[in-house]
Amino acid sequence: MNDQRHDNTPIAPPTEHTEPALAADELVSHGLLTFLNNDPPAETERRMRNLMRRIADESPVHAGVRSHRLVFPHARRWIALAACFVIASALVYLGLPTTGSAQAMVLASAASLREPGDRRFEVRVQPRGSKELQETPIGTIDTRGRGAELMVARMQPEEGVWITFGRDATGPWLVYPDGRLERNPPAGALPRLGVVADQPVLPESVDRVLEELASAYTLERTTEKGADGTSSTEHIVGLRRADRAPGVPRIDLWLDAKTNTVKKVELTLPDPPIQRGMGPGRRPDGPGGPEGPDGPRGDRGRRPPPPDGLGEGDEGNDGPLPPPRDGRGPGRRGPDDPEGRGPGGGPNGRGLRGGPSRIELRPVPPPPFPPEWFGPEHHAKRPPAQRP
Amino acid sequence: MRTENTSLATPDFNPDTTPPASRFDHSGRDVFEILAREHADMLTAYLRSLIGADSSVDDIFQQAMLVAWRRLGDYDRTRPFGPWLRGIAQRLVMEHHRKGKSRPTTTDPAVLVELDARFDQVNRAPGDTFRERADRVTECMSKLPEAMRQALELVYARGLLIIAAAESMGASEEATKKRVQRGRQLLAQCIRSGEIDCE
Repeated sequence: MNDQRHDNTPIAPPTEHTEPALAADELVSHGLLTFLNNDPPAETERRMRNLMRRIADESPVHAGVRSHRLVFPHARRWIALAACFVIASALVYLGLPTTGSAQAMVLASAASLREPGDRRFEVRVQPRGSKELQETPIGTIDTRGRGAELMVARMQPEEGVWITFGRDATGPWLVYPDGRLERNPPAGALPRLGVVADQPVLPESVDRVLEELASAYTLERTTEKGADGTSSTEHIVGLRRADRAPGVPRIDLWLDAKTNTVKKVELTLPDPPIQRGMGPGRRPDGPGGPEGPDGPRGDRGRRPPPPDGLGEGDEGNDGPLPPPRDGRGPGRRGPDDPEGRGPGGGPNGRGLRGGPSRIELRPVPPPPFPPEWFGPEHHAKRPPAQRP
Repeated sequence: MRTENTSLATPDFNPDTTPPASRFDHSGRDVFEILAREHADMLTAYLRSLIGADSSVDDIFQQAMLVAWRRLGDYDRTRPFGPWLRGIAQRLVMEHHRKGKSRPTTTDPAVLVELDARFDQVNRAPGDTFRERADRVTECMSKLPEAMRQALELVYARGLLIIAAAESMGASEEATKKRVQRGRQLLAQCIRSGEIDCE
C-alpha cells in the first residue's frame, strides 16, 4: 500500500495496514501534526500572496487570448500542437536552449532555496552613474526555515544608518534607525532600493525573486564555461514580458550548472523618469530644505551623484529612508544623528540618490546566528552603533 | 492488488483550459480569493497528509489552486468546495508521484477515500477556521499516554528522526515507531469523538 518515504524525512511514515480506515486515521493525524508544526499563518499568507500574484499575472493573458480564439476548438488544438512541434524542432535543430528548460532551472533553484536551513545573501548596489558595483555590501538578507518563513534584512541606505526589517510567525516587522520597533509596518516605511513604475523595489527574499523571474520574464539561457573549459555556470537572462504588470525590466541569474544553486542574482533597474517641477528630492513636507517644492525644475533623476558621495541632505523621492515619523522630510537623519547630516552623505559614497542602476544578491556562508536573531526584539534593543 | 484509480470524483483538469472571461474581472478574482483563503490551511494539511514535510507541498498547493481557479466554471456550487479542491490536489500528488517528483504516503484508493472522509470530519468540528479545528490535535495530545505524547512531540514538534527520538527516550527504534503509530491512531479517534480509548 505505502511507498517508503525518503530516508532523511524526520516524520515516520504510516506503515502497512490491512484496514484502510486505520491507515487514514494515521494519515489525518500525520497531516494535521505536520501542518501545525510546519505551516504558521505567515506561511499560508505567503502561499496566498504568491497564488494571487500568479493569478493576477496570468489573467490578462488568458483574457487576451480568448478574444482572438478560433471558432473550432479542435482545429485550434491541432494548430497549436503543430506550431509547438515546428518551434521545438527548430530549436532542437539550432541547438538553442529553450525558455522551458531555463524556466525549469529557475524553478528548481527557487525550490532549493525553500529547503530548510539558514541562508544569507549580501546585497550590493551600483549607484547611478557608476560603472561598477560597490565593493561593500549595503545590506544582508538572512532567512531560516522552509520557504524562508523567518527573515531578517538589514539595509544600510547610507553610512551608519541601519534599517532592519523582517518577518516572523506573526508577520512583518521593522526596526527604525532610532531603534523603534513597528509590527506590520506600512509598505512605505520599508527601505527601497529603487522604484519601478511607482512600485518600490525591495528584494526581501531571493526565492520570490526567482519565482517572479520564472513566471513573468522571457528567459534566455547560456552556458558559461569555467576557466578549466568545463561547463560550470548557467547564465539566465530574464526580460520582463510586455504582457505582465510593470516590474524590474531585467533580471540576470547565474546558477551552478551541476547543482542549480544560485551563484548570483542581478536586478537591472531603469533610469528614473524625469519629473519636472519638483526640487531635487525634497519632500514637500520636509522642513528647512533650500530646494523645496518650488526648487529648481526637472533635475530629479538627472543629477549625477556627487563624486565624494557627500549629500546635501536631499534624498530624492526615490530615496531609501523610511517616511518621516516626526514631520521631517525624508532627507533628514533620524534623531540619533548628532550632526543632522542628510542621507546620502556616507563618506564612501553609499548614498543612493536616484536609486541604484543595479542590485546584486550574492549568497555567502551564513554565520552562526544568535538564538534570537530572527526576532525583532533582538534588533530593536541593540543600540544603533551595535546594530549592524 | 489495488489500482491507482481513485473513486473520488475529481475534475478532469487541463491547464490550457481558459476559464470564462467573467472570472477575470476583479469581483470574480475576489470571490475566488475568499474561497481560496478559506480553504488554504485545509489544503496544506491535506497535502501534508499525503507528502509530509516534502518541499513539493508549495508547488502542489499553487498548482491545485490554479487548476481550481481555471476550472471554477466546472465547480458545482451546490456542493462543498473543500472536497473538490482535495480531489484536484490528490490528482496532482499522484501525477507528481508518477513523474518521480514526490513520494506520497499512500496511493491506495481505499485509503484516499477514507482520508477524504477524515478531513470532512475535521471540517465539521467546532471552530471558526480550519486552523482552530486542527488545533484540537494539540488538545488531544494532552490526553495521550505520556510515552506516546513524548514520541509524537519529538518526531513532529522537534523534527527528530525516529531513531533519534528513540535514543532521546531511551527506547528501541521499533518501540518508538509503534508509539508514534498508535499515538496517531488515538489522536484521530480523539478528533472524532473527543475521547481517547487506550484499550
